Amino acid sequence: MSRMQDIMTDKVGIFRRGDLLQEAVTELQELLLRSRRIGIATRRAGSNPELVSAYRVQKMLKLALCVAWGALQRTESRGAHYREDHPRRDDAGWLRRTLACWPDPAGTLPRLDYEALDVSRMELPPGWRGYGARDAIAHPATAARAAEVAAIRAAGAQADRFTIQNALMPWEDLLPAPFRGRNARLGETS
Amino acid sequence: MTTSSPPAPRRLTLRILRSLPGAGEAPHWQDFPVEEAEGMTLFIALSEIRALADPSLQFDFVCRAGICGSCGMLINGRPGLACRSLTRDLPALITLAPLPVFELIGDLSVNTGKWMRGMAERLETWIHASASPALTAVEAPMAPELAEAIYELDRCIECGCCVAGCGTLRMREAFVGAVGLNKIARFRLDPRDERSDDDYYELIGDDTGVFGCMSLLGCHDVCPKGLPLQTQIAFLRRKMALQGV
Amino acid sequence: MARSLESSAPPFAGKAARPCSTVLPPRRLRASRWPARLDLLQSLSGLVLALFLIVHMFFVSSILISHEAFYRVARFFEGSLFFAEPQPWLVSVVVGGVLAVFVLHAWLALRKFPASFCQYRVFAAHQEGMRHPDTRLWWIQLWTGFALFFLGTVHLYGMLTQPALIGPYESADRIWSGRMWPLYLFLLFAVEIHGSIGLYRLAIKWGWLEGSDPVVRRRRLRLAKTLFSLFFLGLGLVTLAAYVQLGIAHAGRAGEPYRPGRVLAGEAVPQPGPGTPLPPRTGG
Ligand code: HEM
Ligand code: SF4
Ligand code: SF4
Ligand code: FES
Repeated sequence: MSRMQDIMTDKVGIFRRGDLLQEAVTELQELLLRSRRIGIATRRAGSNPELVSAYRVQKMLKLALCVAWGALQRTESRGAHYREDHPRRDDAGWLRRTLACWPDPAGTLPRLDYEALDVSRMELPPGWRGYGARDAIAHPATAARAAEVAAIRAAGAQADRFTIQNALMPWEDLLPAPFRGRNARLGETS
Repeated sequence: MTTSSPPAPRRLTLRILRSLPGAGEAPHWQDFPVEEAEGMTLFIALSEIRALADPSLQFDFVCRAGICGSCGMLINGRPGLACRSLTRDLPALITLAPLPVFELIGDLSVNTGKWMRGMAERLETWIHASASPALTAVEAPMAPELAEAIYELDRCIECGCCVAGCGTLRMREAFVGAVGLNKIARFRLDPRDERSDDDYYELIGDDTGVFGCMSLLGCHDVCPKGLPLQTQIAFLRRKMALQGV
Repeated sequence: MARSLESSAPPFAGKAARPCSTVLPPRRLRASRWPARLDLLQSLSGLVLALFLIVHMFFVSSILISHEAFYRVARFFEGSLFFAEPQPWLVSVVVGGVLAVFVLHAWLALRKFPASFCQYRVFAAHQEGMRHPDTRLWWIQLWTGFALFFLGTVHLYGMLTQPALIGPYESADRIWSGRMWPLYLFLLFAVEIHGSIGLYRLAIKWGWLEGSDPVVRRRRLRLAKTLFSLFFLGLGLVTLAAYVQLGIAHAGRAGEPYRPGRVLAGEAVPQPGPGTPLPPRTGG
């Protein structure tokens, strides 16, 4: 387990590199194979912490592989995933969510699927957020949606924030009924 | 010039009271040698024992920073948080035993949560308000000094050290303990709680409550969060005595 | 509402595996006001006894000034200011009052005593393991209080039934020839230690003299408590020694009451009056 912790700290941290990620995946796979033959040294009833770790370590390794394998595929930098070999954010190629699952119990890698995000329904389409270099590779739908949002805001200049919110991205229907009231704010005359 | 080599690290012995009530394993002491390291806490020492000597050793930790209240134990006979006890403040022989009073799970692990839950239900340690809260209204403001005073008492992490350090509670286990009395003092301050001193008397106005306390101050002196238990209990005693006359 | 603090006590250091008392009284409609009153009475009776003790110590130590001084104090309590003849029953009334407070205090203190061997053992192990001064003080208070049951009762009963026999020779004879000095020695230690801890605890318990920094204040209070103990123990020991000395000197004529102005052979004649130096009490 401590070997896994070291790998994750050293090679799958915030600053990542393809070759290191590849090494991490290989080593984690070896650990996973080893963990399938795990045994415990102590024979104590009750919540034996060794037994608890033995149960957990295989699942922790699978989770670590999901993270490392997913990070290796994502050839861009985004948030706390910084690829030294791919420093730009790539909305055109990577504005999508990684979904990992483990269909083969005997396998040593997860299956990765991707779910694209719908820019045309975003309240705040991807753009420059005020820090870092302004070098992201834009998504083709971004410009259109940004113009649409600006138009809605301009048209509703006199409207209250609830109306604008509804026009941009309605979400009240997702709340349980008791919480759909209009929250007062300090310094706002209702 | 002579270079003085750093002194050799101390060899510590952790004498741990081991037991497993579920499996009928009777309590017995077991010694574990540990080499002291710079800035070592009991949490680090115990983890080392678990990693290197005996992976079946049971003890509880979550935050390692004196915030979650899981790691209370008797350290050389006195209750304290293992994660906040530096080995350099302790002698080379350190005895560790589980906190008394609480249900023992095994070795150093006890179920403080169950006791705290019983105490909370008994003392009704939640806000008692007749009106349901107005969800959309701006919260009523509170004077910063009052908020500060409530927060001071709210810092209790329910670690159970005061419970184990109280001679009264050890003798009479129905006593609510300093942690319970402190909770009442906290809700009594809170303007959102509509209970009166008369209501509080119902909860703590007997020998299992504030009048059971014999002012031994074990609670005050072992509380790892430095809560003002001595003054709070004296204060409640005055208020509750007024209710009684 | 759940009224139970569920707990099954773990073995502490292999001892006392079971809880001592987990059965709670069923919840009544309105909690009794008596626990509050009993707690107040306990403190009040303790305070009255402690104040009485202070005054009492100064009165009996008047023997250190002179036999005459003690004689006058004793007669004063028999009403010498108002009556021509001594009225010893007045002393009995005062003693009776103190005895009543004493009994009340002891009765209330019973609530706090360990009520079973199990409780006793748990507390004994606890105070040993904790190495905590205030916990140990309570343990001392418990034992000195327990001793006072017997020591105090014997003393008070004597004073109640023989109020006339309080005087320099009478008291000294009782202490020496009457073999009371061992009792008084133990009583002195028990009552001074118990009383000073009691006063300290009163201040802590009710939050008197907390000041802005209770920790510093507690340290000062504890110092005051120790000084109080030492002062009264010193005063008491010297006084008791004076009685013992006088009792040995008077042993040959034990039982003879003191008459003002008459003294033992070899003793300086006390010359009452302002400005006279203290008579030496060299004893014969
Ligand atoms: C039969 C004799 C006595 C017994 C058994 C006894 C016992 C006790 C006990 C057990 C306590 C602790 C109570 C508690 O923790 O709440 C106590 C408190 C106290 N006692 Fe005594 N005691 C006796 C006589 C005296 C006498 C003669 C004095 C006067 C010097 C005295 C002064 C006090 C004081 C001031 C307290 C503190 C009161 C309080 O805690 O509320 N006691 N006593
Ligand atoms: S009052 Fe202090 S010792 Fe008691 S449970 Fe809270 S934090 Fe722990
Ligand atoms: S002061 Fe009261 S609550 Fe605190 S340890 Fe003493 S008896 Fe227990
Ligand atoms: S581990 Fe959280 S308080 Fe010690």
